[in-house]
Amino acid sequence: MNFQSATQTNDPALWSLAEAMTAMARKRISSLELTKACLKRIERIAPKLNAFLAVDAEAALKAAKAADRARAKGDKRPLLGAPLAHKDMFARKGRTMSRGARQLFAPDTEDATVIARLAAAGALHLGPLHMNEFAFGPTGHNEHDGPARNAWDPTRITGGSSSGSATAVAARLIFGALGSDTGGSVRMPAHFCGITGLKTSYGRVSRAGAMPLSFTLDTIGPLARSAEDAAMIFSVIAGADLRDATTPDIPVPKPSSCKEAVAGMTVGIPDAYYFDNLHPAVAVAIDGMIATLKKLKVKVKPVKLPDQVRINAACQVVIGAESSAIHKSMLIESPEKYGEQVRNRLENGFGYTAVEYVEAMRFRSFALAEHLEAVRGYDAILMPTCLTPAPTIEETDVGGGANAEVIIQGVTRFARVMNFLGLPAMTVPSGFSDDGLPVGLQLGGRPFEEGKLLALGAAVQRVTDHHLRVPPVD
Amino acid sequence: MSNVKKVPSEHIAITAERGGLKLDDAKATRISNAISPAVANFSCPSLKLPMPEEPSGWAQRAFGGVRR
Repeated sequence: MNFQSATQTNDPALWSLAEAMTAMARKRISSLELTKACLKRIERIAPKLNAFLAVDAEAALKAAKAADRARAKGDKRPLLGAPLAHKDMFARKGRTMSRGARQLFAPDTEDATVIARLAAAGALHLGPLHMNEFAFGPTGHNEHDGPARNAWDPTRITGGSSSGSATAVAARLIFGALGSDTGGSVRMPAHFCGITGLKTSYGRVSRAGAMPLSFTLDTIGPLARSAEDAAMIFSVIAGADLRDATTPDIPVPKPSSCKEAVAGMTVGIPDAYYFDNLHPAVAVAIDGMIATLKKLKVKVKPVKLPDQVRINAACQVVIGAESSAIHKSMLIESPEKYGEQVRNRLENGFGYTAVEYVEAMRFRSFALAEHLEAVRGYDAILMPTCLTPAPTIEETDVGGGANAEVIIQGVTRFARVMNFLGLPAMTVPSGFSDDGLPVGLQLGGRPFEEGKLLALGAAVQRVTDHHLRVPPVD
Repeated sequence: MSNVKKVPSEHIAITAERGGLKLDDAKATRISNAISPAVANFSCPSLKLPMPEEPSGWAQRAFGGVRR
C-alpha cells in the first residue's frame, strides 16, 4: 500500500476508504479491526463535534464480523466491511429517522434505496449523524440537537445541512457518508470541513425512502476523504430505480472513472458573480487550482455564464414553495415542534403565488439551455463553493431573527445554481486559510457527467495534499 | 434590500391564508422582507408554443447528454 504519511500508518481509521478496502482485500486488516478503530475515535472525538445522534456500536461490530466471515468465503462486494454512517434522513427498516427534527414520524417499513444499495455492497452503518432540522439550513445549527462542530476548529460551523456527515468524515470517524444536496448541502459542508463532496445530477441517485425537502431540487451524494473514495460510494448508490421515477437508465461511471486522463480537458472560469468579495484564502485557492489544472495539462479558459442572480432567485422561489407544500400539515398542526429559524423559512414559502412558482419552474428549461450553450466545449467550470472559510458558530447563530435570511443567502450564494439546473458538481479540498481552516472549490459539470468531475478531482488530488491533512481534533 | 420592490405584506397574508396558514402583521412583514429579493430578481421569458422542453426541464436534465 502506498500510505500517504507516517501518521496515517499508525491508525487504520486514518486511511482512505480505497486504502482500507485494499488492505481488507489483501487480508492485512479485518473489518472488525477497522470498525473498532473507528469506534475508538468516535468514542473519543464524536462528542466534541456533536457528529453522531447515536452510535450503533453493537450492531456495527456484529455486521463487521459477518463481513469478515463473508470475505473469508470469497465475497468481493465493493464496500464489504466498510464503516460508513449517514445523516439521519434515509429510511432504515424498523427505525425512525429523526430528520434532525422533533415532529413525530412512524418507523419506516423499508430501507431507502441508497441504504439498501450500500448494504447490498457490504457497507456498515455506524449510526445516524447530525443534520440541520429537515435539512433546511446551510450552517449546521440545529435548535434541538445543538450545533455540529467543525473538526478543524470546534468553535466554527460545519456547514449544512449534511453537518454530521462532513465533520465525521473530516475527523476520520468514518470512511464516508451520504449527504443530500438541495441548495448546496453536500458541497458547502465539504468546503468548510476540508473533504470531497459530490452533488450528483438530478435523477442520478434515487431519492426513494429519503426525506424530501424540495422534490425537484433534491439530490443525494457522497461525502468522502478523496475523489477516489467518493467514486467508490457513488458507483454503488447511483443508477435507475423503479421506486423513483426521476432516475433515468443512464450508465453509471465505475470507480475507475476517477483514473481517466484529464489532459486536454477544458475547465471554464466564470466571471465576476463568483469572484466579487472573495475571502483572500478562497481567492488564493482559486489561483492554486488553476495552476494545478494547468500542470495537469487541462486547458483553463474564461467562460461567460448567464445571469446567476436571476437563477438564484428562481431557485429560492422553487425551494420555498416546494418545502412549504411538503411541510404544510405539520406547519399548521404542530408549528411549535419546529425550531424558530426552520419554521420561519418554511412559512416564507406560503408567500409565493402559484404563478411565481410555475414561472420559476418554467424558467428552468430556458436557464439550462442558456447554461449548456455557454459551456459548450467545456468539460467543467471552476467556482468557489462559498465566499469564506468556516465562520464561527456564534456569528452565524442568527436563530429566526431578521438577519437570518441575509446570512443564509450569503452562505448559499454559489451553491444553488447547480441545483436549479440539475447539474453535477463536486467540492474538492483546495487550500487552507492562514488560521488553518480548509477551503474547497467546486467543479461543475454537464448533466450526468459525474465521471469527468471525479476524474478531475482525483487528478488534482494526485498532485496536491489538501485532502490528506487530518484535523487537529483528538 | 432597500432598492427591492417589496411584495406587500397584506398580499402575503392573503396568499398564505389561502394555503391554510394564518399570519399576523409581524409575520407577514417578515415574510415580505424575506421573499421580496427573490421575487424582484426573477422573471421568466414569455411562453411560446411549441415549447422546446418540458416545463420543468426534467427531461432535458435527464437526457442532457443529447444536448450539447
